[in-house]
Amino acid sequence: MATNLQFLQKVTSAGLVSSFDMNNIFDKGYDQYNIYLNLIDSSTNGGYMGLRFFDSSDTIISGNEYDWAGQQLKSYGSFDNTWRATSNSQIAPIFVSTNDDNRGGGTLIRVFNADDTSSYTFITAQSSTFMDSGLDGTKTIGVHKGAEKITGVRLVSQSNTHSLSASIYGVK
Amino acid sequence: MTITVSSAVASVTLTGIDSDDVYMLAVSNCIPVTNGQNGELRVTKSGTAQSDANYDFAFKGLRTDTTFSNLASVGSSKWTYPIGWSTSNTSAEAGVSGNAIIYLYNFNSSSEYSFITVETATKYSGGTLAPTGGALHKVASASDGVHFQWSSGNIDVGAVFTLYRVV
Amino acid sequence: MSEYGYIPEAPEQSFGNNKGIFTPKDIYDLTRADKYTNYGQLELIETQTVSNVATVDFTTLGTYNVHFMTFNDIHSATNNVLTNVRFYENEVLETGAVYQYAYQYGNVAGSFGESRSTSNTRIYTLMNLGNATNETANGYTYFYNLTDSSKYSFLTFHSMTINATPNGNMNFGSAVLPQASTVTGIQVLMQSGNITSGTISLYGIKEYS
Repeated sequence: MATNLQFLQKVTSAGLVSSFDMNNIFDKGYDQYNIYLNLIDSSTNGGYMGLRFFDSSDTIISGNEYDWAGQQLKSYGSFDNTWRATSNSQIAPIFVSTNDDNRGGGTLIRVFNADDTSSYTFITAQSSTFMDSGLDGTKTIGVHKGAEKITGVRLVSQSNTHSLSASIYGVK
Repeated sequence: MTITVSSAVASVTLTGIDSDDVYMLAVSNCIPVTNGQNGELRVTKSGTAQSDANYDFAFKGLRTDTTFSNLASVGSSKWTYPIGWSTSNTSAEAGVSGNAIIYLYNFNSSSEYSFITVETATKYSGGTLAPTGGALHKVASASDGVHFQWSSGNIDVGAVFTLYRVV
Repeated sequence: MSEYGYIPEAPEQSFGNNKGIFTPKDIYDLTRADKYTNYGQLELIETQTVSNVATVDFTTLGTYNVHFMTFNDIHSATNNVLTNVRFYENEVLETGAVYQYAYQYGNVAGSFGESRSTSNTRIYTLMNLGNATNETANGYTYFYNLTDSSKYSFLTFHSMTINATPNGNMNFGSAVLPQASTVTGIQVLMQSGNITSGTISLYGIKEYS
């Protein structure tokens, strides 16, 4: 019963993008997938990143079908505990407040039940990024309230663009 | 060790912890047959679930519907909230489930308490709940696994529990 | 002359896409070139079982972009201290007040709160730990970008410990060393005093282009 990660794919954005698509990364037979997201750079300081899923037809799910809640952990001030919504068009925040100095950042997104045609798909995410004010971290959970197979992920930049790479693993 | 629930059962027990490594329990698609149940997790010793009053926990309850909760207890007979918190059944809402990643520490030690860290995401009638934090069982003896049940009723078909050794 | 059983040449080999018949030498050569499919990308770098030391250094990091560290059964000589992390940059330990962290904590008696710093001499990761029998610290940490000289070094962490009360207490949070540098080592230490015992394991998460 040793745990291990099984590498599936690496996806890299073509420079700064407003949407970062990871198509057909699921449906590989795992109950859980890990996505390690490497933030390379941002167009401007600030902003945040949201997440949507692709369905079994590789069509983006952009309807108000997501619940999410997150805690924004700040080194420079009181935490923001107001990130939450039900029946929303995306899950957020995947990370918050990036910088435009090419300084990086990291996020782990765990995805549950993506391959299951009769279950909602859940995520947990934890991140660490930096803006000029200081460190920003997030602890976020979310769910897509559709009982269907999910095949991929789109990360959507809010108010700026990002360059990213992601390594996807099955947990076995 | 993987257990996939193929017909509704009262509980699931995973054992086999026999080294000083860190272990990880991954749970997906765990659904109560009876609507609105909390998850109850216990340690096992020699394969038997322990129900003494030595379970403590502290979780930050991230939630999509209202102000985040603080969940804490001393001297309980189980760890409440890992995997499920007021979790709905599929009659109430098709597609719901409880899911979790739980790391297990010191379980194999004959002289230390057993500790866990918990990340959960679970669906209930008002939204989505995520108890996140840690817990301990304050008995200084070796634990060899975990036992899970819902606060009432059976575990529905489709739940997958996998116990890993982190190597 | 066949290559991997093909005449004259085999298809290009890559991780997840191997075609042909392979001798043990073929497998060895392709593995070294990161072109043979071997699953198990959580790769153990080093485990240290410590006994009464002030610091624990991990100075082999490999070339991973993501590292994972587990802390098991950490005991402290000093009462009510946190387990800390700091970094070596190009073999020089960074001891300046340059680290930043933020974490949510809570204890089993119901006290919850936030902790943060923009200028600390180390990163507080695992929660407060007592020094009596059975008071231990346990948890895990992810590290990002350590080996990238153009990037800051980031962490996320999650722990469960017993403090000096004694009460169980948890935390989860994030941290950063906001300096664009190559981190060549990770140092683990207590807020003060020695680590009397414990096991710490460092892993790399391997990826392929």
